[in-house]
Amino acid sequence: MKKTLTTTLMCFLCFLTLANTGNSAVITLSDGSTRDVDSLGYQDDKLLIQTGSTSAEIMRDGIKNISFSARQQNKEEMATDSADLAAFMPKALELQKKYPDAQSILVSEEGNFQHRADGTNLSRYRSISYIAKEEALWEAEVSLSFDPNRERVRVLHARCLQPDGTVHNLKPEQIKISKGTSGSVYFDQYQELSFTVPEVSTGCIVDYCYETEEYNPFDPNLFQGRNYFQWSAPVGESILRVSVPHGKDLHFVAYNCPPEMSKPEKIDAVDSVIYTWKMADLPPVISEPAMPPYRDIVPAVYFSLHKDFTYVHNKLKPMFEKRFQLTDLVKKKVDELIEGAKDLNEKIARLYLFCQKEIRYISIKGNLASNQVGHPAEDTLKNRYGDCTDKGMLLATMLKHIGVEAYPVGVRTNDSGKAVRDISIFDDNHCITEVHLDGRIFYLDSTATDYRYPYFRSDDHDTIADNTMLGSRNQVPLPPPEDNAVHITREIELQADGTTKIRFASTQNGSSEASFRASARNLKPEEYEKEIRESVSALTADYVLELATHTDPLDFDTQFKAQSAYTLNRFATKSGRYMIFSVPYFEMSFSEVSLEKRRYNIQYSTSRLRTDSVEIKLPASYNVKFLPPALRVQSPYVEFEIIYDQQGDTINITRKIAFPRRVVPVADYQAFKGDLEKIAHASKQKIFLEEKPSEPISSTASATPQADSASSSQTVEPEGERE
Amino acid sequence: MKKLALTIILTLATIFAVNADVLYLNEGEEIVGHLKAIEKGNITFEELNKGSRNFTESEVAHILISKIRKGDEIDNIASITEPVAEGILKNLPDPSLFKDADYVTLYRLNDLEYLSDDKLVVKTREIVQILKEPGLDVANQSFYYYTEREKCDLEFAHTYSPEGQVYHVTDDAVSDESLLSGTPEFARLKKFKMALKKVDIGSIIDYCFVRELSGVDEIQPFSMSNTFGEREPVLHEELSVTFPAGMQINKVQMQWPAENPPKFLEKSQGGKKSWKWIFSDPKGFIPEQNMLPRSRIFPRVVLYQPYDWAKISSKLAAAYDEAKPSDKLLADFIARAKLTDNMTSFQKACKIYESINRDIRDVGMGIPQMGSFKPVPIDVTLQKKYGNTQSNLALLHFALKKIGIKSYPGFCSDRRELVTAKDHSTLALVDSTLLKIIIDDQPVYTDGGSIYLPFSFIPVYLQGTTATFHDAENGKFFTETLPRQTSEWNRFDRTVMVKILANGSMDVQESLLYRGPYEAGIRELKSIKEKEKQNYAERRVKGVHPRAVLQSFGLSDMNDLNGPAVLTLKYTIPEAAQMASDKIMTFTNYWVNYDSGSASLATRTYPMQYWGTEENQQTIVFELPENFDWVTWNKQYQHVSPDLTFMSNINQNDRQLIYADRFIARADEFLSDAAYQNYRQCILTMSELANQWIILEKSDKPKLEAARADGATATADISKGSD
Repeated sequence: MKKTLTTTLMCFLCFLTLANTGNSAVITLSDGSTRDVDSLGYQDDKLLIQTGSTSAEIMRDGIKNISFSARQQNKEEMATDSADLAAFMPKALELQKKYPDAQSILVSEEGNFQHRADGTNLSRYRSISYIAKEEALWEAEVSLSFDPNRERVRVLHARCLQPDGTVHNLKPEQIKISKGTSGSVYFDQYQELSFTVPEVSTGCIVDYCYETEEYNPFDPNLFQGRNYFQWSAPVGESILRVSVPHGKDLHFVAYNCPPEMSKPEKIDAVDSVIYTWKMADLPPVISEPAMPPYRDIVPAVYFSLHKDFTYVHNKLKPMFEKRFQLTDLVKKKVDELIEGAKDLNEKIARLYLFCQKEIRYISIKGNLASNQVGHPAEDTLKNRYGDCTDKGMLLATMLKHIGVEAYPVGVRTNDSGKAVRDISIFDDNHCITEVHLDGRIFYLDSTATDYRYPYFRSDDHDTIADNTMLGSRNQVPLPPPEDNAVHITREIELQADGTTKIRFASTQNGSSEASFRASARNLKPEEYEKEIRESVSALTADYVLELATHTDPLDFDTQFKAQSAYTLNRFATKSGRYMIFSVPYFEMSFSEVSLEKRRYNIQYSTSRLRTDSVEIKLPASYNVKFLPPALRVQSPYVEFEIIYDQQGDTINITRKIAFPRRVVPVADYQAFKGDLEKIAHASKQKIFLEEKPSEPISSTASATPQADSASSSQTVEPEGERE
Repeated sequence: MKKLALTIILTLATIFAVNADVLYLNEGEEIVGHLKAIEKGNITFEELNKGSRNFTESEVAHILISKIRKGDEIDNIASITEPVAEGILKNLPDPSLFKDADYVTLYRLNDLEYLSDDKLVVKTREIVQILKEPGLDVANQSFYYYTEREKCDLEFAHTYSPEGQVYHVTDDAVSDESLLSGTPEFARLKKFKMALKKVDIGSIIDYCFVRELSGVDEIQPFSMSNTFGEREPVLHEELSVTFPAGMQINKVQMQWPAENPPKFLEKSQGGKKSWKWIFSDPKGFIPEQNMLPRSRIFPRVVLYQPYDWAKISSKLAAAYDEAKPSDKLLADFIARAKLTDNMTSFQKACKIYESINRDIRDVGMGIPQMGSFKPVPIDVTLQKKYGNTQSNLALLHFALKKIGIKSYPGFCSDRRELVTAKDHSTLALVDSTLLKIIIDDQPVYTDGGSIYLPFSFIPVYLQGTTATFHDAENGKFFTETLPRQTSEWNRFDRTVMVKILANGSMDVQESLLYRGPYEAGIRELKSIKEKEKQNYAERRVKGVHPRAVLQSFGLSDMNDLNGPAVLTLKYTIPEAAQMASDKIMTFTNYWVNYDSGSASLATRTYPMQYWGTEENQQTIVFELPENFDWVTWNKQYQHVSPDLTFMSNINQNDRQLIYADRFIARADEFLSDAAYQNYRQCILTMSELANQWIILEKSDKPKLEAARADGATATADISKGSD
């Protein structure tokens, strides 16, 4: 054990001493091929290159990229020594006994991050996993993304240990570097190094190790990283080592770690300090519905050279200022957009709408500036495309022209876990706009194309916004449920044969409204009608749709409303003298409480409210036999009320359900589950009618004529039943 | 004069088009402009609208050079002289003619030119006007091409703004990406994507790309299929093919004659022959639920180069021979399958099939993605443990041959495709691979299957399709129609025993048996952890009723692919039945939830497709509480026709209320109105049954016989009309 530890430490120290080598430039030609050159000159759209004693001329059209920093990928032989590998097999088999249902087992993983005295960074990662089931065979395939102008990735070894002890090594020529694929709206400068470990089958151990050298960092003082210790596969051992030169402080935070594991072992080496976190025997994470993101529940360590955000803010602030320019073009556009607006609110709403609707979402990333700050406001306006940072910057700049103080701010969306704010790391994945107006702060998100001012995306809610320009941090509030509401009214006329006429209307706001608008705007009027038909016909195919309409989803001056009217022939069930009626689309179900017990909190995207108001006119020939009882539930997490009220031949139902919080702690799960089950059960309760004995059933309620079909069948309704 | 014109063009190009180079500084900033010069380590870069700036090489990470494309020298519409764009822009239609359209295609050209037997060029150009926000997505385009045999070039991509300006795509928004580079033998496809600049509502985009394909032959064939008719209006669509007069090209016109057929033109000139189809549809169509593919509804042209089947056979045989595994690797593989002498041929084939699926990871690249019918060498599959369907089936073919079982590699398309290799002598019209195996003189088919499906299961998309098989020994191909079978493949059976307690609660035991595509879904459970299975079962019973509580669950041996895939659930549902009074208990049949959403349209414009032929059967036995009797429905729910059959009955027998139903779909396309009405009627019957409530009434009579004597039965005579 001691020997293993010493060997590991020695390897790590050797790894710290690796040096840089490189060429003058790397030219990427338009066909994707590259040339390493010793020197180059460019004039009049011609590139003159020299490699050794050979020189050549390339016209501009033949060039795609000139990199002064890219280093040649080392073609050295990879390590084939696998002496330590066999020792992992018994450990893997032991873990498999403990976790027999696992698809794979991460027997050991080790991440080493080194910040060097010259400001460059080197990281090394090794993963040793056991393939227990066929479903894990994909683990043989490894893809690593890197910026070729700043980073160099070297695979140190990649191999597979068969159960019989045979080792199959990856050969260097099997490693491919290419531009990997991404979604149609994403463009960047990254490359992908990929390979497949050979001969991997079930019962094998897959072992690979690679090194990423950041030889050209954006800033020699920006060193940061993170490590997660637990996954959906069980973990045997997970080690994180971070080293910084003497004289530099390392700041770190550990979340979800047992207390004894949250503090690292600290070793003073010759020229650096090494911090080590080690965890062992971690069970797999079992997914639950509506659970928080993994990173919020697994042990994690984040580290940085900076405790607070001052350094990063100072680095980025000039980039923000350069892009936050109110140019003539921007001013002109703002003036054009706000013309005729009656007040400041309307002006803000118009500028918001412009950035939402007329700046198409395209993400172009290339450097620290575009990654973190975006493109200049004027460029985005000209290009008519941009991503969250670009839109956030443009909106803030436009607002400046109407005297409204606003800033692009970084957030980590609430579906991606909580942003780390205890130390300074780049942890945001989104940019929104922070507006300071009349002494209050509120937020807008121009990437949300269907939100009506002043609403904004629900995954921005309840996050912490980082304002680089002000150096401040503010809580993005969780709106009250009333700001994400659906209000539904139904007027229902129930006939003696069960035929049900319904007039439906709904209004929404917040995220619900955005969701309705999004689906409506992508449908032509005829398609919308067909969608409604499909929905209504799920109740019964024997229906008549009289109306299916909505307000213009692209009209953001008014709240979105939808209306429909339809008749469901013989919808209410009749059995003997009884009729059972259920309000269509009234049932509720809550998949988040489907488990008897949970391990993790329930996490919603945002708060929400729904109200229903139903008026049912009953047929004259029926009495109410049973009305479901009222139900009221009041807890910090759900508020519910349903009331059935009969007035003569009319039943009025009012129902309200609100979820005021986004997170339900697991400690309160049972009570919450009980409440939601009560609510779901109440929503299944039906109205029970009984035929008045003295009155005959209306003869108008004849069976719907059957279509002339090839069928010999029909729903058989004996004539005598009505009499 | 000519020289002067060229100089002017080049000068304009410098001014307008090349200001899209991006210089990335090491410190993270980036600058858009134009690279002027690189000399002795100094870089001169002209920043857009800000004059020249100088940098040293050590400050710069890299420079992205933006390509100058055809027409990039033009910055306003008035200067356009290219005849197609000029003509269209001068005669733009009034957008109000297309009030519901997201965009209108003003011009589309697919121009195919055969340069020789094995080389062709396809030029695609589109000019599209954006009319509504959802249409903006058209400004993001992706094209796929074959890495090895194809050159893809974006000739130009311009945006014509409503204000008369012209904008051009720049290379920061262009990306040429590799797919599957981690499995290089299958990395045959690349994706080229771009985002056009400055696209607003009202803008017109105009782009053109050219693909040059070489190496076309019998086993790397090419075909083009073009369907005329889409959701959005098209004002001018042109499909053109030119080929040497002596070359044979076949054209197939489907759905012809049509209501609005393309106009066909034919011409011979200069030793070349050309065909052209010109189409216009200013309306577009409204998609319908479950409509057949467009290619089966609207006019369609298929173009291909016919080959001699004998030559195809000889080349394909050579390709398979070249790909065949080495004797040792194949023998090792067969040894791992652990065949024994006492196994039947079918069992041996099963074993090999299961070994392949267990050990070889399918990378998911089919023949269309590979661009070739040459299988990747089987040794790659055996050594690297990954393959595609074709290479996996080729391995199965060679392994079966080795153990003396005859098999034929085959090719086919989706069962709904009507243009097949049966009638047309080319492999270009097939896109899937399969294998016909002769076991004890009986044919067995497989498409390669998966670890979740038994050997010889034919997936739904191939059931009933026409397949072409290769008989290499005799140098020929033969075609067959694959079986279509409901009782065996696409089947679901459910048995539920429900004990109803006096308080309305239910104790439930449910058994579900899956066969066919449903089977894969349930067999996937074998791969997940025990706790996840428990969660699945808990969620599943909550799907029956929100208050259901799982007691226990079980699965048959999911690893035995030939055995039945059974899931059992035992659960209780507190207060499942609603007590309308102390004498009336009512509930829906929770296990019967047919809905009629798929039959929402009273009549259809386009033919309907159903997912597959199938047969489902369920039996639900309710044990009634003491003295409660079922109130009869006096209705029978059945539908019997050649295409579709639904039979059900419900009957009280002493304390047991027994419900049973059976649904059989023998057809999966409903082409006429009569066929659709028959479908609709069947679905209506089923959904009406699902909406029916079961009412139990408490009788004062201690014995049930009286109720039976009242005729409490509604048993349908299911034998009538059934098959």
